[in-house]
Amino acid sequence: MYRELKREEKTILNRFFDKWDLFDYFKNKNLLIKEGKVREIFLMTKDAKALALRKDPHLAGIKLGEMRKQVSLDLEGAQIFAQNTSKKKIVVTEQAEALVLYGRDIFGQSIIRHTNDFDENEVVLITNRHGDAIGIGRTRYNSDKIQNQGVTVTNIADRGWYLREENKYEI
Amino acid sequence: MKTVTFSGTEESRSLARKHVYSEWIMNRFLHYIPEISKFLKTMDRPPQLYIRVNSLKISKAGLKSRLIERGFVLEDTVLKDVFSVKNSPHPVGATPEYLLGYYYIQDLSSCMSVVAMDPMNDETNLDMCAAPGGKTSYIAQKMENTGLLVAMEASKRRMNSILFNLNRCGVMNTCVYNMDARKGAELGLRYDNILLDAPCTCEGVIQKDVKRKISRIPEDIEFCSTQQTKLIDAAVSLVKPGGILVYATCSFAPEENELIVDHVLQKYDVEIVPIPYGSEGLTKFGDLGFDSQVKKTRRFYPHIHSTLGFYVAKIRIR
Repeated sequence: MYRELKREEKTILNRFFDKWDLFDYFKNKNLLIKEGKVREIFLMTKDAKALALRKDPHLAGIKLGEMRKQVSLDLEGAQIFAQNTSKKKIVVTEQAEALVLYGRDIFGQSIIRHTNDFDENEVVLITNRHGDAIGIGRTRYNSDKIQNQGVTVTNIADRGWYLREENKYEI
Repeated sequence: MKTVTFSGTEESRSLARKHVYSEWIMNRFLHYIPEISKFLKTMDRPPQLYIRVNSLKISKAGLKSRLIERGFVLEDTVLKDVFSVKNSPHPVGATPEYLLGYYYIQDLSSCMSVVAMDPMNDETNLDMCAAPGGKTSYIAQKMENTGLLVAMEASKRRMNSILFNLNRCGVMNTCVYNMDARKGAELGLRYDNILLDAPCTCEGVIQKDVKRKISRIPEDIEFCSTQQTKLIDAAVSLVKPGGILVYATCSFAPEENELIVDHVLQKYDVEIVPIPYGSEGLTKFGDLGFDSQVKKTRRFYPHIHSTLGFYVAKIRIR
């Protein structure tokens, strides 16, 4: 069932957007929560939102992420973030891009460049050289201690998932 | 309406044996498919592959340069959003660009139905039988992700495919309902444009699924034709006056195409709007005669248009 965000959910979400420098970007966007096993956050047009609140659909708009105690980003959400923020990103080589899409973690030598704003164990956007979000990762080091050898970023989710899970895909 | 069948001839028996079709289908093809031997040869080859640029996410030039860099050979088509894939070093459904939703693997003929619909920004539009979501995402693209697009799909099993594709393609203006489109009035909306790509016998996709050459029986056409009539009656009632209803199938069968459009012309105050692509619709088949306006509907043939078999009618509701 789709519903409006509650006040505390708005607060959590605004803090999350602010962390990514995206508070202004999402200020007037139309968001709804879909209640289910988890609370999912959906982004849609004004008209789609109005209908979704009046007559509950199977899907409305695109899934931005999930809200538990904290917000976790989904793959489509990551793509919107990657296009609109310059925070918490790592850019990988073309060879590493293919490996990421097979679900593999990222080695230090595969990173072409990265932003200097993340700590150890933080969520970052994994992008290719074109700036597309090909995945979401968790860092193993601070941005100023990125190592050349060994796994540097753990793959949490990647776009290859669409291929691997195509027939099992559910919202 | 009973499926039209014809008596077999030596030619139909021989062609059916040679190209491995049920004889009743071959008999029918001989009565309305132009250039039959070229048609049958083409149907025995894999279809031409097309991709449609998803301009919600990337420009045509941007996608083209990325795919060419990967070794793809692409050619422009009559539709500006669609490339013909002449060569691809990787499976087209496994590139990063595909996974990012930058293109959709979609036949040119299928795109024609959306082009005929001509959806605009901020409209309220409906896709009545939406899975797997290719046309839905193209409609959203034409609407530039604005307004409201309602997508209905009766099959629960097919819902996953539409959810997958709409998310991958970044479609934000759509509400998807797992419901029978014949009950579409339950949402209480009237639409500027409706696409009814009706469930059909899929004769037009034999190139992708050769089993269909022999797996169908005449009663399948009869069954589909009955369902299609019910769906199009529901569709007409949901379009705003002056709005457009696009009716499409991937079947060659006149009972699923021209006969359905003729039914609408007889029953409602509507007119057929010409479409600048494809071959003319039939005005007769066996003992059946259709309204002269049906000629303005369009047929797509693999051997003439290098597409899968397809039928499109653009109907304006007065």
